[in-house]
Amino acid sequence: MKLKCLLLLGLSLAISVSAEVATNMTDAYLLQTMLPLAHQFCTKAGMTNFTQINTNQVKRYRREDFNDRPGCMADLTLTNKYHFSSHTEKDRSEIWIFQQNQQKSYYSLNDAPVEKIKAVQALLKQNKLNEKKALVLARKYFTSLGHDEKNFRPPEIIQGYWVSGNIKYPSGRLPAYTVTWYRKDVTKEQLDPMTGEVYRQPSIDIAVSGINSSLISYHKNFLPIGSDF
Amino acid sequence: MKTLTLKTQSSFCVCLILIAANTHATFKLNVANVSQSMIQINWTNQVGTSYRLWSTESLAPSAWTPWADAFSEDTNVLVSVSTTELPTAFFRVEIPTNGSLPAVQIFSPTDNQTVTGKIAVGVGAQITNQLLGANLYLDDALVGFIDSGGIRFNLDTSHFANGSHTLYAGAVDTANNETLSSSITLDFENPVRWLDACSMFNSFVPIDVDSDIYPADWLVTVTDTNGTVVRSITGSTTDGIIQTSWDGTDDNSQQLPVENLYQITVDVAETSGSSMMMASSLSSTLEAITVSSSTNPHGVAEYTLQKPAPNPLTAYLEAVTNLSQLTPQEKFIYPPLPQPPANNPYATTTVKMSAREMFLASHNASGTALNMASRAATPNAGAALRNGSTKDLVWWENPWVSGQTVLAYAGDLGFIQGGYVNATMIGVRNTINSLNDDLGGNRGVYANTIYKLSSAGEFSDLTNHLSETTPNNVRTFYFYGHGNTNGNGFGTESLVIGARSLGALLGNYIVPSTAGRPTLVTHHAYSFVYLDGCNTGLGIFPEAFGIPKAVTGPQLNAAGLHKRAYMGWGAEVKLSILYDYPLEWSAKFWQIWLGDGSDSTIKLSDAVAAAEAYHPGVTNQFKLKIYGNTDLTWGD
Repeated sequence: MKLKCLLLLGLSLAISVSAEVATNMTDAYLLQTMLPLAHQFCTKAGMTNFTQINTNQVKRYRREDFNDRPGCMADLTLTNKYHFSSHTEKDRSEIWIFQQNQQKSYYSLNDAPVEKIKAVQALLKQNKLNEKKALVLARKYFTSLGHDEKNFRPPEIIQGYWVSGNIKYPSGRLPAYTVTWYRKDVTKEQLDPMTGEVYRQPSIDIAVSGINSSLISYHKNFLPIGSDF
Repeated sequence: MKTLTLKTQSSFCVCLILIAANTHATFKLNVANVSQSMIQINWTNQVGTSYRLWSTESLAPSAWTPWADAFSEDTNVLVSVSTTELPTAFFRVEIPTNGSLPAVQIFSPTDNQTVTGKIAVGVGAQITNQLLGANLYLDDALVGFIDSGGIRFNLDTSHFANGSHTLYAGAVDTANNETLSSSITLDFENPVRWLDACSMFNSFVPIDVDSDIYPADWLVTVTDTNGTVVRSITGSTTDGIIQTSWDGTDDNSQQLPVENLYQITVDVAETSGSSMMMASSLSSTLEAITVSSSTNPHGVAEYTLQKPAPNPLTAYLEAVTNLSQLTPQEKFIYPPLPQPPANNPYATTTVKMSAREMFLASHNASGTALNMASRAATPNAGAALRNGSTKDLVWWENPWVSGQTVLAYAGDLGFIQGGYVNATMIGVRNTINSLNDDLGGNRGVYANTIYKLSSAGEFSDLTNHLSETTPNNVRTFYFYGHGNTNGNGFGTESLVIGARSLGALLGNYIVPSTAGRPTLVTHHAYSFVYLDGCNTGLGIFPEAFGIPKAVTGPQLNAAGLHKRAYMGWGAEVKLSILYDYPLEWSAKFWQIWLGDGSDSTIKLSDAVAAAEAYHPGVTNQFKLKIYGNTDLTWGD
């Protein structure tokens, strides 16, 4: 049974204090932390066209402070659809999610017209990678973003794909690959789907494009800020 | 010890013996046919009891062996027995009372046994507390679970690699403590294997089979629940690799009904030099006078054989001879003999053969493989070519789209919580509705209502809405309140909705394991369910909502199935000022996942990770469980 405790009274009062939320383009965290972090991330990932990111490129920004300690989470979406999520604890900050949002590693085309399915199908003709090359590419991003393979289990790679409800065009591959590195202290048992807890094992996910070799997405899951351990 | 005995023979019960020894309890065993190959034994249950079934093929002499233990939470214990596995058997039921507990063991197969094809794994589960369910593990991975009835798993070994495997069972009590059996080692030896078979599909089924037999011809047959072969696909392989797919159509290219179970069988037979025998040779092989073919309504070939039959007069005279040897008293039980039939030394009989039977016959496979003994169409004895087969039971799920959300909370959470929950729920509702407005869809909160479950009330309104698909397409559910100890009930402190009854209402249930893992039938699967209460991640609510724990997100995606995810807690959610507050965590989760009402593309796992950053330690402390697609987004 859900254990209820009237000690909640104090906690209830505590949670009634709302955390500070900022969305304005003059927010100090945006200017002094978030934008520099995003720029730094792009530089590390070799996105050389991002020599500078300014507030004119910001489509959406939201920062919410923790209400029990110094720090915050923030989201930044640029006009070119690039999305960054940052995590700050006291004076330590990092980008833990990046999504290009222009390419997907999975498509559901259940109700899509045949023309769209064929268009997605045709994407594969532009694929310049195979699993081996995609792994090499993902490793490049993995290393340049500050991770060390010695700290992780062997990577797992999955090629993206699409599915549809059209029986003539049921499914196909996409020119995108996702590579996952679980940290080396994660056990085989913890990766059993039946545990229901695979989602919170420390890991790095990197998706790369087979069309232009760009970084589609980066996720740093349940790892400390700024390090693998 | 209490013992009860009955005999089954093929598809009917021959006799029923009832014994109740050393007890005042009275049992009555019933048996019923449930299909041509299955009977069901049932008796009145004493809840909390784990029974043991023993079987023997004969009483004189008898050789009793433990068949499986059985249990139930319901009024009756129902045990299904395959008459294919046991054409003739006597059963004895007992309540073991003289062993030390716990005693979890695998009765069959035995350690170091070499096995092939589908095997039955009988498990004994005697534990100190009430039995909730039994799990079967192969190489440390869960491959089957049983929550009621006889603990006898069907494991198709052709879905795993050849070689050594470790098998053990686990018995789970109502407090979710699991007691494991000792493990046994089995050697799988299958010439034909289908390793990545999935039990669910949307629009097509990939069929990737490895065969040690090659060059070989192969046949894929799809059979519906009526036993009709609705599709056949043929081919040959020179390297043992068989790759094809079934697109859900029959041999007339007509789409077959969705929301149905289909069995896919892949037969592989060594190539005999020519792909098919000549008609004259085939007739000889089958001892047939003529062989003709036609097609069934699905366009699949069927064969009719005319075969020599015994002279009916000869058979009649034999009966007369037998009758003459009986006493008048014995003759009394026989009906009067009919008029003698005409003398016909050229009598024939008609035998029907399916496409699969003809495939095996034409490749001179063994009579055992044909399983045609009763039809007198067994091919001539001789050196059969090598052959093998593998099967998969698949459920064709109707494509669906995400829809309305139902929100509910228990009304007996106390003044402070109750008020806070209500405010939180309203916040969630507003967020969903805001996003819904932005997306222009029909995914708002159901009727803009938040159900407050009352301990004094009954839950039919909620359960009726949870099962609603028309006019509102209810596919998402969030509940905050009480969960019971085993994770199979949620509701108020005094009244819960059970997982099995909810699954029955939604039409989502498990078909006993046939392919190494259970097959899930999903008449009303959910896109996202979050039961925010104690232990809700431990039971079978994921399956009840059509989100099988055993099927991973990538598997769902690869099968073309709609994404779906279930969230629940794997521990008691203890609330005190000393702990992080899970409800605040949940509110934060909703806020993030729905992008503050403006972004429907955030992954579930990202929202969970972000909520965890706001409230560190909650997911670990209370063991948050997520099954299905952790990359689910609200827009999926």
